[in-house]
Amino acid sequence: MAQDKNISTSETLTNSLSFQPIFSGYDTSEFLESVNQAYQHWQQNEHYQDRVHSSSTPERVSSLEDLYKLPTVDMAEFKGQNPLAISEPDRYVTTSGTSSGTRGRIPVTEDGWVLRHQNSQNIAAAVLPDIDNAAVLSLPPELVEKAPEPHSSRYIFNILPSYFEQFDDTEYFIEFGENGPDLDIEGLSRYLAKDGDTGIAGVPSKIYPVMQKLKEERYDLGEDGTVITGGGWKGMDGVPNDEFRELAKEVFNVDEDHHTDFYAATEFTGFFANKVGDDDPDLKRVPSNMFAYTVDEDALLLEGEVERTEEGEEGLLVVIDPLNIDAPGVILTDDVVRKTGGEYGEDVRIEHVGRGSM
Amino acid sequence: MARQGDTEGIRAGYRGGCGADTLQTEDHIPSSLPDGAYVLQEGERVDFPEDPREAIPDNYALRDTSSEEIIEYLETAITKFADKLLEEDNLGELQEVTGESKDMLRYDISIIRDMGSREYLEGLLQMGETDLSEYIEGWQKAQGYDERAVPLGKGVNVNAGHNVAAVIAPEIWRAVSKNAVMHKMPSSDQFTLEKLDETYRENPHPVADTFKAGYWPGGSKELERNLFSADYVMAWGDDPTIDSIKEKVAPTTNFVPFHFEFGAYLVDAETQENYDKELLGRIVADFSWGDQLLCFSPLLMAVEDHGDITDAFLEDVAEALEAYREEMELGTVPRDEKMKIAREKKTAQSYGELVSDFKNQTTVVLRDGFSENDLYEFFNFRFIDAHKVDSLEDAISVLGDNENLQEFILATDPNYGDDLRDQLVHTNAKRITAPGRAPPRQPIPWDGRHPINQLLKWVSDERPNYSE
Repeated sequence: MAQDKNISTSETLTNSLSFQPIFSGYDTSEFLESVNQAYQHWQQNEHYQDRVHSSSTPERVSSLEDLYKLPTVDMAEFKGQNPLAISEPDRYVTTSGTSSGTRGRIPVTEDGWVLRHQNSQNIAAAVLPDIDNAAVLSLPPELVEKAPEPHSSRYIFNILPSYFEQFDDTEYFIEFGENGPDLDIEGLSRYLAKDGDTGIAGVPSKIYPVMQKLKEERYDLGEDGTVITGGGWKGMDGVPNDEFRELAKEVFNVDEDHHTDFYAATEFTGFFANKVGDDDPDLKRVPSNMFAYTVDEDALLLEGEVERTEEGEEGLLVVIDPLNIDAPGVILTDDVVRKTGGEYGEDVRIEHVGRGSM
Repeated sequence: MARQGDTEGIRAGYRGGCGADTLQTEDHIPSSLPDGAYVLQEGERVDFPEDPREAIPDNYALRDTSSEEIIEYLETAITKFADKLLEEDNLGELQEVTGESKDMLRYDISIIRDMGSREYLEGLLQMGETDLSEYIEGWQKAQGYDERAVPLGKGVNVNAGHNVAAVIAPEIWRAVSKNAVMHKMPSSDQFTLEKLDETYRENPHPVADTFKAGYWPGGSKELERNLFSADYVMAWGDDPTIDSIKEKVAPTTNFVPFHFEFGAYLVDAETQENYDKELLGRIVADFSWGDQLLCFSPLLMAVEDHGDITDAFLEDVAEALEAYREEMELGTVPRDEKMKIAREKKTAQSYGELVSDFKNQTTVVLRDGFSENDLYEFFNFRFIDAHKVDSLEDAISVLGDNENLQEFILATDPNYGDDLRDQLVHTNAKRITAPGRAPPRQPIPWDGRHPINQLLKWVSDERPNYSE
């Protein structure tokens, strides 16, 4: 599994970090060079190297068109023993929502962890306003590793602090009691009444019942108060996004344009999101250090082929993530999305439509 | 010093788990009934009574009916039920509700016929040398006391709904053990038990009088707390479903759960060298039965690594599996599942692990090695997930502790199988069987227990025998 590194991890790290995520001034040549470096690095994994050699892939990535020729890896390959790992892992990126703790963890190196942490922080800083307080519906970071397994409560994300460390005051309102995760609703209620601009963050299926419980109260999270959702809209069947946002306005006095939704996966080093102030929170921006495109479901189903769809057509999302130094970052996800706004740049938007499979 | 403290504390210390004075069951009369809940009464859907437990029949009529009479009745009724299901209209309806092909349904119905045979029904009452019917019918001498087996009474069976034969097993068990039942019909299939209800109405008998079928939406907490305070609850489903049901079962109610389970094939080198078409046929029949969605379905295969011979064996298995579709048409495969399988095939292809042709509707993959990671995700719909191992004992050490393991199917030299079985008894497996025998045709223990015994209470009469 682990290979001798031709390019040292620290060099890759330095090269990668010099390419900061932004949502304007996208530089195609800089991005392609970043992918190119990563592409050479990923081929240190013998399995990925086999895939590169067995298909008509370019030796170097020199154009956007070359990006579509890079062999994909299925996100299912990241879990468990992870034969695509480039180096021995040092730790795990943890997410809940699975019936087995092991399957809900992605192995990463320490350098890879640092990259994810910093990239996530930079993207969060770019999309969120300058809030003073952040109420997070998750376990505090120091307790994440102690959470019992298996857990499927979607309160466990050890990458979460990276999104919120930048704020003056961040508090976590979940702990593990005898009967599983407990929400400190009274503490949350007091916190939300604080002065200053406040954000409330969590998976939608956890924020929604909180809003319903607190409905009798009225809060004002401030002019830049924000509802920050992430982790997907699973468990929200029958509750349209509009209804969620209307309730947020009613309970927290947060307007729709102050709702930001993070579209991430444990396999990615960063995430997509709408910026606060964007017209439509369901249309996510792609940061300048990532690339997204869609492939035809039927071609995959019937032929096992990964074929690009036209712009605006629904398809399975593929994400190219050059900051991923731990495994090949050309990831075929199981999400059906629609991409608009061109190939690469600040106009690109990704709209989540549904789940393909798994 | 012992016996310190108050009475309650002392009692707790001595009586430990007895708790006769602490275990209580409340009535839990629901404040309202969920929409869509009904009971079948004379073929019509009617509301549950205010106290829903009253809809569960009592078993008094069965208590006074001999085991022989019950068996005789079931032989006839089950045959008539099977015939009814085979009527073309009913078969078509079953196809709609279950998603199985007609070939698969006819096969399931043949299993139902077997379950209705005298041999099978009498076999259910055998526990080794013990004939349970003797104990059900009267007192028997034991070691210094008399004992008798008594039905638990009246209860609820929560069906799983993926297979018509699976619905019949609990019905037969409760009847043979002289219990009464309210079956909860699965939401996906309210047809099969309607047809059984119809058969019983056409053939009155105490067995028919002690049967009821009803339906209520899942998660109807109040209703279920009420119904699950009966004498027993049998439940079928995956682990979260069983846990959810268990929470609502009263402390004094006997709970008899049947979880999600799977089987695993073990194939030795000898078999890979000396197999014929017939053996291949039996293997693929097992992997095709129920499209692998059933509790006894094999989901994995461990093969002793025998180099090129192993590769050739799996290639033949792949060919046979695809060809078997002619004999046993695939059921409906949901698109999500098709996509899951397609992606897995593509990934397997990348690693050189795909044995079958990508375009086949069935799948065989052959992977190197076997670890616990391979037990986290299973594939169905005629997918043979084969793993090369240095020895079958290596595979047993991986599989043996898995809580959901049901059976090992041994495609081995018979002597090797005899050696293995003494190891296998100490794993979580409850069955050891041979190719072609994944579907149980004999009245075997189920999930490691004799089902009739699960539905009986044993009473001892320890009075001196004054006549001796």
